[in-house]
Amino acid sequence: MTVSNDQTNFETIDAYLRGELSPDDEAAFEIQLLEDPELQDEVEAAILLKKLLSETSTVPTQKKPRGRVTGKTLLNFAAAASFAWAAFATVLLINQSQEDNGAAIRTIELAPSRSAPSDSRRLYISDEMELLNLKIDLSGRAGTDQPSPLAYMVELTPLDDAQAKSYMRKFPDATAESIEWGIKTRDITASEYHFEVRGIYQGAEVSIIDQNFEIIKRE
Amino acid sequence: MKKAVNHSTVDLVSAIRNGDSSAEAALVKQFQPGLKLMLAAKIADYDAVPDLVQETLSAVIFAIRDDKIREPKRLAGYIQQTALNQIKSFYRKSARISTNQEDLLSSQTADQTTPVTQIQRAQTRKTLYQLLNQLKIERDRELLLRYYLKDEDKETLCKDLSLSAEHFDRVLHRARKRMKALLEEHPEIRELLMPEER
Repeated sequence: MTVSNDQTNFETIDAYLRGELSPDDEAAFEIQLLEDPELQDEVEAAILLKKLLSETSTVPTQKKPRGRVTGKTLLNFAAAASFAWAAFATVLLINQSQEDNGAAIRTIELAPSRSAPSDSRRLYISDEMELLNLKIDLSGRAGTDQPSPLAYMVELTPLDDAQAKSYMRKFPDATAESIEWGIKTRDITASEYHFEVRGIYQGAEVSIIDQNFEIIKRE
Repeated sequence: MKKAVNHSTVDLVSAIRNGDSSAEAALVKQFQPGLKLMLAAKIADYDAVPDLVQETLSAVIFAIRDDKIREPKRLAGYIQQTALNQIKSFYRKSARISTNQEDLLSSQTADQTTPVTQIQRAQTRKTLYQLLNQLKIERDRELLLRYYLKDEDKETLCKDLSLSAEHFDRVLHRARKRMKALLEEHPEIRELLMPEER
């Protein structure tokens, strides 16, 4: 993917800043960003505009409050959120209730759990599948007094396997009750992975889910 | 603005391998601006960006010195991957720090800004408010806030505010142009919003 004309620039830059590009397009965009001074000008203006608005914002919006935290209250919020989530953060419940009869998309439902920590869990994928869809249930925090994060970051990182690719995706809508992340299965190397979901606060990151997976390819 | 002549990455890698320290400086100068933006886009804590830039470029230079870059033409790709690794490391450290109560409590008591810095920041914020005030139409301001701060999507905003997609693009385009012009007139604003390397 190469960013070319103004309109493409505009849309691609925004998609990048909102974490909406595919992993391959995001990597291609970032490589171009490292090399292209004109693109750097455009991205800088967009980032600074967003930052400017966060520095000067006094206008309420119609969307439900997200508990945005700033300044000296930041660490208090981060601490409260951290400790409140900590009870959930150690393990995942995995509902692999999806149909696996040659379906092109396999959805794995994940949720923070208070259960005891578990060992690495196994996820099976096959050549017939096109997409591994990770659905992460975040509704557990609803109704609590915890501040909402600004966004969520989801990461799938290979453990000690130089051949396997790592994945990272930012989800800006932190008010969502669940987030879904589709990964093309042809890109995934069978290996053991570390999976983590973090809430992003201004100046702090809070781990919400932290779990190892072993991904196994079925013939 | 600021743009330097780009060197061939093959030449840069070759010169660094041969111990040319000026080539190391040229590499930093060439890739620092884009790397800084990439990191700023990916992490919420802007104050951490300068350190991550330095750590990434140091790791790249050490890799070149140790002859670990096999395809110098793809140096940008190597820098991008190194930056992602630095981000992962940063997140892990942040998670550890944010769950350590003692660290949090001691951090809360340390206000590192001086009165002079606070006054400079107040003046800069005043300039920023002036920029926002240039948006005469309340609807345009609301659009920017909801789009950039609340991450609401374009389709929803256009529907809510009875805007065409073209009008939406025009408002954002005008805002970015003003931002760029303002940055050229007031470099201190860039410093406030995205601190330079210390």
